[in-house]
Amino acid sequence: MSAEAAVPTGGHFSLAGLVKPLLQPLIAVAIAVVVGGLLVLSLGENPFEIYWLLISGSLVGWPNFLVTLQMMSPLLFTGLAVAISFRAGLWNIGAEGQMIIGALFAGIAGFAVDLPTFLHIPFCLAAAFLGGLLWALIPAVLRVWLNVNEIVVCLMMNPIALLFSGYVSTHLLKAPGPTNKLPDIAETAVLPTFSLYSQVNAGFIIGLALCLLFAAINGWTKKGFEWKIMGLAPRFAYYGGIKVPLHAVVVMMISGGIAGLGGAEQVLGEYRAFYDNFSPGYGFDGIAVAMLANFNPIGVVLAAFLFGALNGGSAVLQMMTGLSKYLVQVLQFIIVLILAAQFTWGWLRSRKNAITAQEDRLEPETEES
Amino acid sequence: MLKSILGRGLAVALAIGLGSSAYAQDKLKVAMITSESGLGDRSFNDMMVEGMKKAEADFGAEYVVIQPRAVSEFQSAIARAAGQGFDIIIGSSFDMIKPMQEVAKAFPDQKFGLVDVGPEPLGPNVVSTVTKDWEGSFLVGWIAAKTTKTGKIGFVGGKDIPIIHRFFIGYYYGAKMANPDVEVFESYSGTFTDPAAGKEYTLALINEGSDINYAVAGSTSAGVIDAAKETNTFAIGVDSNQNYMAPGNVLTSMMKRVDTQAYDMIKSIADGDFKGGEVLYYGLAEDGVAAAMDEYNDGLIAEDVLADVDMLKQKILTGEIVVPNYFDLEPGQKEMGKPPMATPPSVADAK
Repeated sequence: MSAEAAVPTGGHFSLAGLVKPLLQPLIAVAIAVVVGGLLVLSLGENPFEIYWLLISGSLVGWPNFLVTLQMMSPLLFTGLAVAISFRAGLWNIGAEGQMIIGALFAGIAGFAVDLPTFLHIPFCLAAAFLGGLLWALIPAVLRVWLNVNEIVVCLMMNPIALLFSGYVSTHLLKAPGPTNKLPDIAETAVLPTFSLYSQVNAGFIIGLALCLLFAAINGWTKKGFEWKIMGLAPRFAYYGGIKVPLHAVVVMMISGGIAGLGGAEQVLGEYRAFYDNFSPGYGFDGIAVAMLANFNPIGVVLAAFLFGALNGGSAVLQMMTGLSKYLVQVLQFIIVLILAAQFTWGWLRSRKNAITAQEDRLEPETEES
Repeated sequence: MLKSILGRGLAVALAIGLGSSAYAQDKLKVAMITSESGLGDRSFNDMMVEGMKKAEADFGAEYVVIQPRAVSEFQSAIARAAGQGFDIIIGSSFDMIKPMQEVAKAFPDQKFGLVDVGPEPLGPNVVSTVTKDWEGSFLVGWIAAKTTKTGKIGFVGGKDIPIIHRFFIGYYYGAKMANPDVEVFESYSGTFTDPAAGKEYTLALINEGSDINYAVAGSTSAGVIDAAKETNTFAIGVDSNQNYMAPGNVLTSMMKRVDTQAYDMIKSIADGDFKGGEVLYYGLAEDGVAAAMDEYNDGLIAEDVLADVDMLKQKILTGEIVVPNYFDLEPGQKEMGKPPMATPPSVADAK
């Protein structure tokens, strides 16, 4: 597996150390660009023109750039949430559900409570963190105590979150009007936006800060190291004296909490109310982002930026050419497919190695620190 | 300062776009912005594209369709389309009211349109429409009363709220005008999101002898249609063409013709009489509502009943028929509409 390349190693930097982790994702993106280009060609359009439109539509000019930042905001949270858990060997694919519950909590805290701004925003963020955390706690506890596979539980928790929040926002606390949503949050809970062109808001900065924080935790602290060892070889970690079950629960709760904060970014910054079924799948996009980032928090920022730019440029592409939004989605899916193929390949190889070696490997992966 | 940077960014984007696309300068350019469900929804978005196609065929309007993935992307999509040289930007969702108002304020020279929203004007450069759903309900009420074999028809609403009563009053008025002896059952499932409840309520009405039930209940309607299929009776769909949901058992659908509404907006640009700041009402006479006819309900409605549609349309146009709007009725009122007819018990006995 390639996870060892992901972690920024504390003190020493070398050119190879910087380039190596970028290589695999770049190859995946390059293949996607080529395949996508052929696809565009078969549609009778000029691929260079289309790609230039995508790039200019996402990066050239403040409006376009700010929209890109808006599109990448939720992916910073969900991508980081998934990256943290995957790195520790916990397959939390429930970020979508955790984000929805976090959004619901933030939405309720936003309208039901009366507080001054400097308290209200932190209160809503805390509520969202708690919501995501609680939702992740269920698969975590089942995993640790009953050894139930967390992938299955996480996957099932996603639609439950959607339906539960749907029930709340269409029955229990619905705002008047034709849209299924909660009442608007109070002005005191709004994360400010900066431009007419984009809903990018202060939540973006929170997401960025979280990514940096976890890059530091991963690279510089004992916790970060223990989580990494857990992911690489849980049995080794256990024999090495790491409290694996406890750490597993903690990692899942942090992961869920961060996904929940992503929901708060949406509700407090972009929607200004909880909307039923608001997410077009940010939690699942987060899995792709985390994979592209090789579970590295700094990589999450870059990968989220790429996906944000693709989605941001998509609207301009549709405006200028009449091509459909699906072209951009196909590009994203190709990247995911290639990464998944590489991932599976690595997994198969490591299994084969493990079988032939007949014992846990203590190989290069644990060399440093 | 900031504004000039924004402007320059747009100019660059614009130059890139125009440089590489094939737009002729004098052609009418339209941007349509879908709701988050996007194309392929078999509902408003797909219907509006039909209006675009018609405008393209009739006067060569060029259109692009922008499909935001989420409600949070509406404003950025509208804002980035504004000032890109589109003659009009047309939206299709109730959730676009606020974003479009914001953007319209910042781009006073850009023309905007929004279909099927409320009666409040949205700004001097925005034209919006209200669909007279009560006239559409009147039409399907007429058709139902002419088609029923048991002499009893039903209505399954979502919540028991005024906006849904408006559909019922139109339906009741149409049915009674077609046949004063027809019995009209009024019921509300209490939910817009529960097909199972819709089915329960519909089966109850069918037990009482109703053989045509009009579903005005959001996704609860699916249950109404399901019940019709199970008992081989008829349902009537609402908002968009729902005939396909159970071919042979959906008598027709009360369609809001957002395609006509969008088409007329584009046409007003072509004719140079854009009605910015106005709210346009679309009823039967304006082709803003219709009973959906397609291959799925072919032959279910008798020819002479279908011929009535034009007659009713004509009478509404001349003012000979005025379909009552629930919001104009007082509780306890005994007569309504023109020609006057008795109000249903839910109004007559209300206090």
